Parts: sequence; structure tokens; C-alpha cells
Amino acid sequence: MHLAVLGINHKTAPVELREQVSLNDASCVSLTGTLLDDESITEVVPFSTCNRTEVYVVSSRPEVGRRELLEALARTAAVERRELEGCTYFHEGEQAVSHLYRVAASLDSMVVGEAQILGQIKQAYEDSHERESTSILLNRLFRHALEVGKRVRTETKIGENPVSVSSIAVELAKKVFEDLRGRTVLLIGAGEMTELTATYLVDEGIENIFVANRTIERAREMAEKFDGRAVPFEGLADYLPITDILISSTGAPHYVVRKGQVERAMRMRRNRPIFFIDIAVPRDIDPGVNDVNNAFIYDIDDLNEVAAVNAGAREKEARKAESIISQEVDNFIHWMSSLEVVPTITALREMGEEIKRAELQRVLGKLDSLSEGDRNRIEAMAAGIVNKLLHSPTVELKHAANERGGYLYIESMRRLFKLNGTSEGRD
Amino acid sequence: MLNTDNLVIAEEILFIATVITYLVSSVLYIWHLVTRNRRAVVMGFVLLALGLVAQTASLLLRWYTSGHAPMSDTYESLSLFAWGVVLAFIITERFYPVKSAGAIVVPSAFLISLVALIFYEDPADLVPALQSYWLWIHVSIAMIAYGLFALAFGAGFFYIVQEYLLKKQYENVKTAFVLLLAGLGAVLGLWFGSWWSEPEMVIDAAGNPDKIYAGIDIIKIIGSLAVGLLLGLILGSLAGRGAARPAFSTRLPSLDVLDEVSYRAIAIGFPMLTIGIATGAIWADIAWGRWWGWDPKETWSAITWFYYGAYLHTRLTLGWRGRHSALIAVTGMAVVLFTYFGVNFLLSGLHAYA
Repeated sequence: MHLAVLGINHKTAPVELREQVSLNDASCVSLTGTLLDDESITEVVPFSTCNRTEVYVVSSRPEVGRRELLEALARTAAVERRELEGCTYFHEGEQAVSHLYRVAASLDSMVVGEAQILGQIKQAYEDSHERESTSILLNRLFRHALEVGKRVRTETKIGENPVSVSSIAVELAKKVFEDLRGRTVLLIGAGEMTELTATYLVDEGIENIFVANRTIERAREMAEKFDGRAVPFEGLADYLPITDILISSTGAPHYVVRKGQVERAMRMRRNRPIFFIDIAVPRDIDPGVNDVNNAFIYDIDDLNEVAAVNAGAREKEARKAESIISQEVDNFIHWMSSLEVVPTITALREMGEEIKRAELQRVLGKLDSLSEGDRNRIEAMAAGIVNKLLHSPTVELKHAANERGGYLYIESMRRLFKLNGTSEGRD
Repeated sequence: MLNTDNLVIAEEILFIATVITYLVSSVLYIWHLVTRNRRAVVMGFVLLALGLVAQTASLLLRWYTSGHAPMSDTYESLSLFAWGVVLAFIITERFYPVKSAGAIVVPSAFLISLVALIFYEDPADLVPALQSYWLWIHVSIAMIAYGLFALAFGAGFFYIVQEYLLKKQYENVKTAFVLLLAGLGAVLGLWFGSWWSEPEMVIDAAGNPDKIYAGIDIIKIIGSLAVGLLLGLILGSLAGRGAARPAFSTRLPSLDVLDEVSYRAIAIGFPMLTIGIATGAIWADIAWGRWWGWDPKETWSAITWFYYGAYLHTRLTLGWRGRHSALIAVTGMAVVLFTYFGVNFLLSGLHAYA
């Protein structure tokens, strides 16, 4: 059994190519079919997200490799093979296991530590399982990969410390308010960033949303999306006393919120805090607002600074994750070797028995003058030669099952002695 | 009848175990704050709870062997204080997300119990003046109030730090830690110094007891104070440097929770203190034939009462909250500590035990 993966991701290919190679359900089915047509390929799992497309296969011949997979993928995606070739990576055996585990732990993701990847792997595996294109090895590999992904998430803090500006803003807001449910947010400027941040806030339970924009139509549009209300841009200061969180990103060349306005609002709201997120360049909110008691203001530089610190923290956690992964890869490889070793030894023994039987038949047929005792001695000698010859390989194979990279010995053995069949059946 | 000597030994061993448990728990809580290791905070909490059980057993044993509530000497009263702080924290921690505040509350409990251990004395019969069921009522209520004020202090301190962090005033974070630990170091130094020194008790012309410190004692006290202050400064600047960075705020509880914990603790602590003072006055009337005599302890408890009264007053009528309120809660602890210990060690009066 030989495990291999061919893939293409955000590190190796531009987005245009990734889009072309991206697999939908139908192309997954056709790719699986194409590959399984090859007699030696027994298991296939195609896996595709917006950042990567990969195909995992198990074959009985180690020669089945990069070329076949590349061809099949190129054909399915209707891309030139040559175009694809330089943008793909190919791993076999232990490296392939390690690759899948790193993907599952989101170490290979664009945003290290992102949470979606596990669900995507689970889906891809379940689809393949339903198509009956997986068997003993990939079943075990993918289930194990999901466990490894979970283990990394619980044992390291790789998923904590947000690294995007919007989620950092939300996290900081929660350090002022603890619970965002029922709070009021005022959005100034109906841009993309404001909208994204507002989406995160709504997820946290923000209920009242006001939108102010220079063109009131844009404000109405956005307010509608969040079930909020458009308010006049000129009178936005009137809403400060009831605003808990303010997000501003207008293209205004001057301050939209001034210190005096905040001071007045603060008196009216009896010092309940206001959290200002200023993602505009140039800034919309007078930095002096930070001096007002219970007013907190974060501009884009502040948020980026936190992002850099958090990215550093994730880096550190990624190192811990790597050591978990290498440990788990060892476990899997060990299992893979032990899975192979018994059938290999049986096949080796059977081969020896077969040769012995055939040779004895041939020789003893010609020597019919031998006594019963001499016959027995010759038979014993033949058995002795076979046993002594196979003794050391058998012992070594048993050891190999417990060794790192031991499956290489098993594979060599199968190849050198042309041992086939046995463990390849589907479960 | 059980052998009382063995019970006293068991009580002391239990208390030493408590102090060690609090120390390990403190380390785990601080470790959690620094590394955000979840296992550390779980283990810290389990140890803290075990420590509380051991301390409760120790206090109950002492109650049994001495035949009176454990509130008569310095050791008993300090142990009870630490017990109150830990209990208040364990309860609060179950209801509010304030785990990280354990990094200051638990070490405080450890230090209080450590000082209690220094003052350890075998249980003794009550001096006649304290032989009254009022002791139990008066002291336990005052102790609950002190425990709550200690909690308000912890929450208030973290409020100030968290607010500076969220306002990106990192220099102030350093200052806050330096002030806190230097203050703590000074108080502990003073404590140690006064325990180390051996003042002579005299009766002054008016017939009141007074303490006379010889030159060597003054050197001991000032020396300990200086060493405590220096250690506090060093630890404070180290802690401040560790905390003063952009993402550290995510490790501390939110302002909302810290403000509320501080406020609730004082809102319950203040009426407790009021009852404590009132029961004290009743007892004073019974024991000494007067309600109120401006004895140092009485005077300082009145100051404490006004101080926390001011906290509630500014909050409820002026709408203060946040940093201003937190500052009162933090500085209030100094007033409490002085009322509780300073009066006993530095001033003489009817309340001086030990």
C-alpha cells in the first residue's frame, strides 16, 4: 500500500489557477472515477477549498505517482498539464501523512489557526466515504487527521489571538463591555470594512444598529442589511449618548467626531463607556477623545499593532502544533507498518513453502530409489534451507513495524520478492 | 476526650499545608496570567479550594481546642481574614469571568496567611475582656466586610490596569504595578519589622498602656521597611514591563465585570462594616460602659466607614464609575489595613491583642 498526495494551494499557485483547478461535487466524482480506473489505485479522496485542491490516493504500486495524479487532475480541471506541473506539490508516505495533518491543524492555511479547515476536511472525507472510494488506509488517515486537528486546537492556543482587524476590534470591545448583547452600535460611513466589523458585532449579539453616511441612500441600504436604522450624517452627535460602540470609516479629510461632542455625550450617559473604532485614513475621530474618561479609541494603526503581536503569538503556538503533529505522524506510520507486516510475512512464508514444495516434487520424482529415511532427510533439509533463509527477514520485518520509516522495508520486501495481494482488500 | 495536644499539632500542620497550597495556587494563577495555560488555572482553582478546606478544618480544630471562636489573637484573626478573602474569591469566580484576577487575590491571601503563620501561637484561654458572645458576632461581621473590601481592591486594581491598557497608556500600567507592589512590600516590611522588634509595654501617666521602641527596634523596623519597599519596586517594574503591551488586555477580565465586582463587593461590604461597628458599640457599652470612646480602633473604623461611604455616595449620586471608583476601592484597602493592623502595632489602645 502506497500513500501519495498531489496538491495545489495558495502558496504554490495564483488565484486564477486555483479557481480553475477547484473541484465541485461532479468533478470530484469524475476525478475519483478516473483514478480508480487504474487497477493499482485502491483509494481516493479529493479535497478542495478556495485556497487549495488536493487529491490523496493509495495504490499498490509505488510507481503510480506524480505523473498519473497530475494527468488526472489536469484532465478533470481541463487545464494544460504543463501549466499545472510547476504549481503543484507531491508527497508520499510519511510526508503525505504529515502534510494532511498540517493542513488539518490549519498550519498550512493562509491565516494560520483558522477554524474552517477541519469542517472542510470532514466534508471531503465523508463525501468520498459515501462514494466508497476510501478503504482501510484513507479511512484511518482522515479520521486520525480530524482528531489531530482537534487536538491541536485544544492543546495549543493557535485559534486564539485574532489576527484580523475586525475580529480584534470585536475582541477589544468585549474587554470593555464583556457582553455585547443588547448594546448599540453606530456605523459612520457605509464601507466594506465597517460592514464586515458590523457583521462580527451582530454575531456577538449587538441589537441596535444606527448607520450614518453622507449619502443617506447608502446608509439606508446598509441599515436594511442589519435590521438597523439610517440616521442623518449631520446630526450623528445626537446619537453619541446612546452609542456604546462606534465604528467610523469615512473618506472625510477632517474629524467627524470631536472631543467636545464626546465629553458632552459622556455626561449625558453618566460615564458609561464608549468604544471607538476608527478605521479611516485620515482619521475620523479626534485622537484627543482617548483622554475623555471612559472613552476608548482604536485607530487602524493600533489595531494593526495588536494584529502583529497576535500573529507572533500564533507563530509560537504553531511550533507547539508541529511537535504534536510529528508525534501523531509517528503513531500513524507505526500503525501503517503493523498493518502491512503480518500479511507480508505470511506472503513471504507462503512463497517459501511454495518453492520448497515445487522443488521437492521435482527432485524426489526423479530419485525413486531412495529409502523412506533418506526422503525424510531431504525434505527436512529443504525445509531447513527455506526457514533459515527467511528467518532473518521475518525478524527484521517484525522490528520494522515498530520503527520510524519501517514501512519502507516492508515495501522493498514486497517488491523484491514480488509479493502481491493479501492486505489490499477494501473494508 | 481527644488528646488536645495532638489536635493543636494537627491544627498547625493543617494551617502550614494551607499556606503552602495557597503559595502553589498563587504561582499557578500568575502562571496562567503570563502564559494563559488553561490547565494552570484549573489546577490553581482546585488547590485553592483544597486549601480553603484545610484552613476551615484548621480553624474549626482551633475553635474546638481553645473553646472559643478563633478570633482572639493576631494569628486567628489573620487566618480568618485570609479565609474570608479566599472564600469571597471562590464564590465570585464562579459567577463572574474574573479568573485572571486570581493572580492578585490569591497571592494576597497567601501573604496574609503567611503573616498569620509568623504570628502563630498555641491556642490560649480568652482574656476576660473578650469573653463574650459579642466577640463572635462583632469580629466575624467585620471580617466579612474586610474580605469583601479586599476583593473590591483586587478588582479595582485590575480595573485601573485594564483601563490603562485599553487606553494604550502603557507607561501608566508600569506605574500601577510599581505602586502596588512597592506599597505591598512596604506594608509587609513594616509588619515584619514590628514583629521582629521588641517594644516595651509601659503604662503612661494617664494609666493607658503604651509601647516604647528602643533604638535597635527602630533600626529593625526601618530596615525591614526599606528592604520590603526595594523588593516591591523591583518586582513591580518587572511585572509592569510584562503587562505593558498591546495585547495584554485580552488576558484580563473586562472593565464591565471588574467595575461590577468592585461595586457589588463594596455594596455588600459597607452594610457589613456598619453592622460590625454597631455590634462593636453595643459590646463596648456592655464591656466598658460606653458606646464610643474615640479609641484608635474606633476612630479608624469610623474613617474606613466614611471612606467606603464616599465610594457609594459618589457612585450613586454623582454617577462616578470606572477609574475614579476603582481608585477609591484600591486606596480604601490601605485604610482597611491600617484600621485592622496598623492600629494594633503602631498605636496602643483597648483593641490591641497579642
